Amino acid sequence: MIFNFLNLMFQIQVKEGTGPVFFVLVLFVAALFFFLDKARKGATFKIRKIAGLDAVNEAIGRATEMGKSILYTTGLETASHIATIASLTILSRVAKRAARYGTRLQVPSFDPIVMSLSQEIVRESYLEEGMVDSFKGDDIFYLTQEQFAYTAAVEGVLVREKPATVFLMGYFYAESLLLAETGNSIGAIQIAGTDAVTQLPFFIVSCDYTLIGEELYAASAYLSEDSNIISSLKAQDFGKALLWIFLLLGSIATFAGSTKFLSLLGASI
Amino acid sequence: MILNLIAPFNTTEGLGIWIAAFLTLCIFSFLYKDNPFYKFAEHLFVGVSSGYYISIYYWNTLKPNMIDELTKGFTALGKGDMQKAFGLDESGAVMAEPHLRMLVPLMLGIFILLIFISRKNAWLSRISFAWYIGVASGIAIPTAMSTRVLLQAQGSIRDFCSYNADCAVSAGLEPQVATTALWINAFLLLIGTLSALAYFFFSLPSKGALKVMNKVGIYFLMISFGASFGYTVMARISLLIGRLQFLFYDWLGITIS
Repeated sequence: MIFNFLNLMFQIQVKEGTGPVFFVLVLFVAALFFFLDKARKGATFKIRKIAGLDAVNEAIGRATEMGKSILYTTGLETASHIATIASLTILSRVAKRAARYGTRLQVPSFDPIVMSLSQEIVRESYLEEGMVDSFKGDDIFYLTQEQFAYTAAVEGVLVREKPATVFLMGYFYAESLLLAETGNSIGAIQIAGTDAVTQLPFFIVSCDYTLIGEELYAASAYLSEDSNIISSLKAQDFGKALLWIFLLLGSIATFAGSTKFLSLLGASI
Repeated sequence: MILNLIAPFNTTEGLGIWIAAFLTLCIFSFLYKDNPFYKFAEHLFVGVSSGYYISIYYWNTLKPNMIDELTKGFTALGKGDMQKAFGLDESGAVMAEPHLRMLVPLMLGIFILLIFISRKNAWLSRISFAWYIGVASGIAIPTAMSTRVLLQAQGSIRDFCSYNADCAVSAGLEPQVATTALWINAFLLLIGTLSALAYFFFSLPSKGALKVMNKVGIYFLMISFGASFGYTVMARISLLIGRLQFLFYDWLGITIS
């Protein structure tokens, strides 16, 4: 029965032109379970250094030493965006550290659902650190869903509160440079991370550390230092390695006149 | 350069121009430093935009999708038509209009509001968030896989086929006459893609061949970021020009003849 169901599902997917997507996702999930199983059996995975993520603890420590706050923004997208989801997982880690050190954490939100999620995530982090009494719900606040009104308001918070550390994690649009430059002008240490390719250059020139695309997705696992979570990173690398091999072989074969690799991807057009 | 009259103050349009010019200057004043004029414009902007979006959400989402549907559903229920009330036709098939099925999202919405109303029952909001994140991820991940991975992979190897007439015809692509420059471009694209992808291998130590690839990858990334930076800065300059044009032409009435 399960096989019949999967067979039907695969047929539907292929019919709608997403067969390769389904196949790749199944492969990725299988790799994820494989590495998770290895981690549970005691395997440890090494991750190469990511400077931007190593600086997270240092940045939080700096705010604590200076007795100033941390400002964290999850970007200008809704909770359905992958970068926002990645940002929320990093927020959890940052909130835990902030709670442990007793450092004020402000999260101006662009989307009401993201604000509610952020509130719950930060509250949970404070709870885990046994500091729930220090949690201030008002520090995770909604501003507006108008892009430049939000930007103007965050800039206002930056120049008035003068946080020592600014995290710009998530998906950003034209406001990226405005936010990062204002953060730079107040002397805050800034760590940015986004998968918005057009905004990455602005973060690179105006922030101390920038997480480029995939590094943002890897951040949660990297910061957790937990083998079970890091195993997901290993599965991601496995997927990327397969894609790398596919691209290399596909290019060589296509160069030689074969259309097999193109037709394999054809259904995803 | 001819100096015309400043926008008239006594017409609706003129008044609008004056207000817009004042608020533009208030926002520009931030370039000097934070000041009461900027604060005024900032708070006004945030307040007006929030009010605007509340109105948009009410008229475009809440009313048509929730209030109207529930009204129709309860009306049908009052008439004893249970199937129609829950958005089912005579044969029991699901209709596009959900009617009382909207009670489920309404309940999920109320669960979220419990965070602010009742701390004791706030845990129910997790059901809504779990549902929301689950559905959102379910939609976002396959889309990202298709557009950001498979279509990109296809684009990377497609050129090699397009430049080969036999391959292009059998793959249903438009054959292209390949020049040396186009071949170099295709190979550069391939090297750039492979090396940039290698840069994002996190679980492998960066040494040997991978280290070299990482270095090449980061060069490719930085070159593309540089190009993107220049391109986008020009677009931002055009935004500034648009604002200055408004101030000089529409407000001050300065025109170049």
